[in-house]
Amino acid sequence: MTRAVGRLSKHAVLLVATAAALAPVYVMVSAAFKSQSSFLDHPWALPLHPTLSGFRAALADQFPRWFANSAILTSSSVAITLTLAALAGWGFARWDFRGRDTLLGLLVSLMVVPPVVLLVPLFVFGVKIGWISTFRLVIVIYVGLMLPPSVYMLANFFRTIPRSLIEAAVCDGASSWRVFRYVVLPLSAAPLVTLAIVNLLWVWNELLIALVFLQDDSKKTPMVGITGFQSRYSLNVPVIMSGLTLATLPIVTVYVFGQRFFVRGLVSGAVRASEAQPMSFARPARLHLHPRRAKRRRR
Amino acid sequence: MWSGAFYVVVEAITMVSWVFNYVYVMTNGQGGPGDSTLVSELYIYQTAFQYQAPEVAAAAATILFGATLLLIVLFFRVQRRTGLAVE
Repeated sequence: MTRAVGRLSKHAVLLVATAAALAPVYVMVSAAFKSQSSFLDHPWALPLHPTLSGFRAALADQFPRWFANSAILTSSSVAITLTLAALAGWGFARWDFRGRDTLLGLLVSLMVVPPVVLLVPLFVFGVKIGWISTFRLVIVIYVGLMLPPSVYMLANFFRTIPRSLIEAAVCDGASSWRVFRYVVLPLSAAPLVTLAIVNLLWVWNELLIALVFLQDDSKKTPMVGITGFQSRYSLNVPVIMSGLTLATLPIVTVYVFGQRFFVRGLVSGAVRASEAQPMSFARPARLHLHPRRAKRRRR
Repeated sequence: MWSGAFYVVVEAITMVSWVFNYVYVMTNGQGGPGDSTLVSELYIYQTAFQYQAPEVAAAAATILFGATLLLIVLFFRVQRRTGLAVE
């Protein structure tokens, strides 16, 4: 009896949380199909006379252009981040160089530096090299901000890969690069997809840096552009909501398709890392020379 | 478990910097009504790029950086005392 009550209350809490999270989305999507006056009369009602005029106005503006900008920014910066983070993470997990732990500690503490702290210096730097309102500057900044957490998460995951798998590949004569490319990377699909999604979401929604560094109207991202809609359309809610709905679509699509990996990847990187032996890859370099001794050391 | 706790701390700090987005969008970049939603990120942004006072913005950014540094140092201290490594 009490267990039933407990389960019921748990479900009630979850239901309320879900409703609270979905309500703004509902208002956004429904308002996108309404006219301004019908939105103002009944903001919560279903769009009984759906109209596409909001979408038309949003698309007639520079919206497609902004969309393309964000697509370029997001895809390139995430691709660069994943490549660099995978290589660096593997180095941290496997290569026992001097000062590794210090370096990793430094990297980890970089994770908590809020991006706004870097705003003024980066802007001065951007002006000096004449890269303001260029994609390359923003891509470099995004990559720099995404790298620390990405490297940390991948390094943690790589440490959980069973040592025997790597030994087996090394015994078969695989070079360091081949081990990474054909053993480690295929095993890391889940964390890599997770990282890609987390980073995609972040870059796509990023406002501050895009706002400051992409001042050209033709270089804006949807997030910055829609914020400007507010003044330009003097709060024409359906147009703004149409733009927001369109801007949400790609990221929701990516998330839905990647969800299967997402939960698994989060768990493997963040939580399971503590269960793995911290230094399990400490001295792998000599393994292939003395397979017998390696076996003894494995315990 | 400590790795998990660390993840939560980092995520919380990251979430806090999201507040800028909400405030900027909702208040048209002003932090209104009055200055009641003027968060530190918005303050730095405003002084640097709207009021043309980058030196004030840099000072505010340094204070913010000091605060986060303090948090992370504290976290490492506590962690070392309990004898558990981050990695």
